[in-house]
Amino acid sequence: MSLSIVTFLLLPLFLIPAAIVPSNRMKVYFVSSLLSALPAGILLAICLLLPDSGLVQTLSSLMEPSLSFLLLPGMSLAERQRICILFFLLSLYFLVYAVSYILQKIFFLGSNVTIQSRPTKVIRHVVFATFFFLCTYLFLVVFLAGIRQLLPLPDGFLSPLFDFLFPLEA
Amino acid sequence: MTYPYDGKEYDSLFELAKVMYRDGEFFSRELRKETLLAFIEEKDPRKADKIKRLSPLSYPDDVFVFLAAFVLNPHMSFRIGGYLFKTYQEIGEKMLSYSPNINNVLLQIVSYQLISKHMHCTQFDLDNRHFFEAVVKIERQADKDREKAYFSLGYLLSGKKTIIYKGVEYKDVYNLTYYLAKKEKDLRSLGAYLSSSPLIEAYRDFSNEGEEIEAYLHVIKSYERDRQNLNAFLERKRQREKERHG
Amino acid sequence: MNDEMKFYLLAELSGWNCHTYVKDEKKRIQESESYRLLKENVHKARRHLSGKAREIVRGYETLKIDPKTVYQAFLVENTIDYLCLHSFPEYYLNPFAVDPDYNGEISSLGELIFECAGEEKPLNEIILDDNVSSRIKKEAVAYRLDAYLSDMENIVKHSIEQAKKEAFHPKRDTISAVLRFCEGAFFVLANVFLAFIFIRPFDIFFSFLYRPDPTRLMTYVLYLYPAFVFLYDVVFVLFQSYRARLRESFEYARRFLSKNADSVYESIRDTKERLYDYICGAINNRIELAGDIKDFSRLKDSYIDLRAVLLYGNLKKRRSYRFLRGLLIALTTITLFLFVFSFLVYLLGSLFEVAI
Repeated sequence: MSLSIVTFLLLPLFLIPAAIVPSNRMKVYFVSSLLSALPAGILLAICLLLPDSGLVQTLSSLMEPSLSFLLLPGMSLAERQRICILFFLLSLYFLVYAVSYILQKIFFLGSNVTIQSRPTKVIRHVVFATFFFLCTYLFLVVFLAGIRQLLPLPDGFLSPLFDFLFPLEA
Repeated sequence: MTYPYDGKEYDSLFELAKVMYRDGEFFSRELRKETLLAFIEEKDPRKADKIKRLSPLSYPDDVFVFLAAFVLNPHMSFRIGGYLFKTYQEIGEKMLSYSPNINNVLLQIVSYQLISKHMHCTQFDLDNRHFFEAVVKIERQADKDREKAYFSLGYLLSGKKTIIYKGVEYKDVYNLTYYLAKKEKDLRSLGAYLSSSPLIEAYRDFSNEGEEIEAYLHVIKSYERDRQNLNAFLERKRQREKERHG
Repeated sequence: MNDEMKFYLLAELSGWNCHTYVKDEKKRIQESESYRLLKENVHKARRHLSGKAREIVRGYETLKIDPKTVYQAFLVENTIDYLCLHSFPEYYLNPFAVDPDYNGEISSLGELIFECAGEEKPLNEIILDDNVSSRIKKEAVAYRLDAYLSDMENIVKHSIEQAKKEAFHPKRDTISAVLRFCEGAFFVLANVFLAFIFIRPFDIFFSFLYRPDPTRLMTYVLYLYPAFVFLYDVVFVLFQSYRARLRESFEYARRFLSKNADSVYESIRDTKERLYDYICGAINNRIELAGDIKDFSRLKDSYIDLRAVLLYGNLKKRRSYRFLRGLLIALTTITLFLFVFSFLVYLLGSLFEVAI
């Protein structure tokens, strides 16, 4: 069992809803996942591109106290900061997802599903499902790649990808 | 001038009127002939004139003779078609005595409202307003249901609260059905008759068992109406199917 | 009921005890043509949402064929005749509530039964009847359409109530609401615990990952628990996605009705006016109606699928739904057991730093 295999095993958990869930519900998931992934993605990009920025310091010092039991003694500062930031982004992701989901539950009406599907409706549904999949599964893969040091599993065949995303210090 | 009838010479219109009921067919013809009319004309031209105005109206013989006789003698007792009644009660009893059948002569009394006319002629209606109005109400119903009106009038005039069936008087329906079940073999025909019988309907209105009879008639009517509607609907449906496939 | 029974009915009402004549009535009634037709028709009528159809089904279900007296026998048979007649779609179909997928024996509004001048007959016969004036025909049509409209408004009102019931869970459904919440909470908890035991550094625990020891419970926590959580996750996600798909018509209708009930009512009233004009046109021109039974249905249109709301309960009876639900319940139970087991083993192992 390796992290790469686990990554593949997690695929159905996102593919199934993408394939089965009806269009109105998919719209809600799409909007929620997009709204969650955007700030998380932007913050991650900033942290990766500007590792010395104040943002990295701030976020890691924010999370470190509560994550100290997870951090291994042999980890470098950069690795510790990376893990703290990833957990912060995970929390932010879930928070934004939950808030947008609840707001949409209250205000969103959707379109009448009894009207026959037109080609544009189908294409729109496929686009939403694809973006939903990318904004959830991809985020999870990135997160797992970032915290793989904590996991007792070898990287597996996706190791080059994981190293590309988050190279580990020797 | 006198008028000969049945071996007797009549010189009084009053006396002649009293015997005219005995032979309706004969007097109906005579009243349209010169001999009798001339006799009446001589005694009382106004009465002759009234009778002349009656004759073109196509009354049955007995009714025409009854009406003509009352023109001649408005104060005599009720006489028609060979029947002489001293009281209205006797008329009612006679009508019911034929039950469940109907006497055609007495039926004419109902159809042509002769009782109310007699009551009016004899001024009976002045002292018996309610009774008179009840008679008029029943006579008006004869337009819709002559047979029921016949039995209703029979009950009203006779004052009876029992059922008379084929000459036997029964205290109530319980006794009627009990004895009929013993006597009659064909209960099906009896059931068919009683369920739509004008006699039973009239009995309901005048007896003490009105509620029970009403419940009976209501159930029967409702049952037959819905059964008829269902059969008519199914028949129409079958025909439409035939047209569609044929 | 033969004429002899009419005699016994009179006898019974006058005071006779006629129960011996009623012995065979139950069997005779149950074998009668009208009862047979009623049973067949009720089976079809159950699928219709009109008030009349539901009345007939209710009447049939509350029918007790066990007469003890002649009077009761008459009443029962009379009731059956009445129900039988009104169990035909000509009587109970509501043009506003015809199922868009309806494919039954009635193809035209002209076959529906209307009452005109004291007589019940098909609308086409009324249209072609020269003995009745157009004014009386139109009055009869207006009267009947008002009844259809009122029935349809009741259907909408009932849909709104049904939708609200499902949304806000009446007392009877509190238990299932709590269970649903617990299901979701357990899903999260089981996965969070799984992530936790694999992320938190605990070397003694992880040693069994590389060198599994069947005599140690921690081995089973490391292998069995993730396997079952994975299976449970897949089935959970599959079930919830499938359920969302089945519920969508209902959910949309519920959301729509809570915001736009007025427009639904207005739309129905407009349709009634259109239908009235359509029939009056046929009356004026003496044209038989044909092939138009679904043209004025408001059950499922650009606004809403009321049928989905009212027949929502039927979705849960589907075999696939029941299978998935059963599988989910089984996996939930096993995973719950494994969760408790794993939690205890991990907790004890962590607290005492020993391999359990």
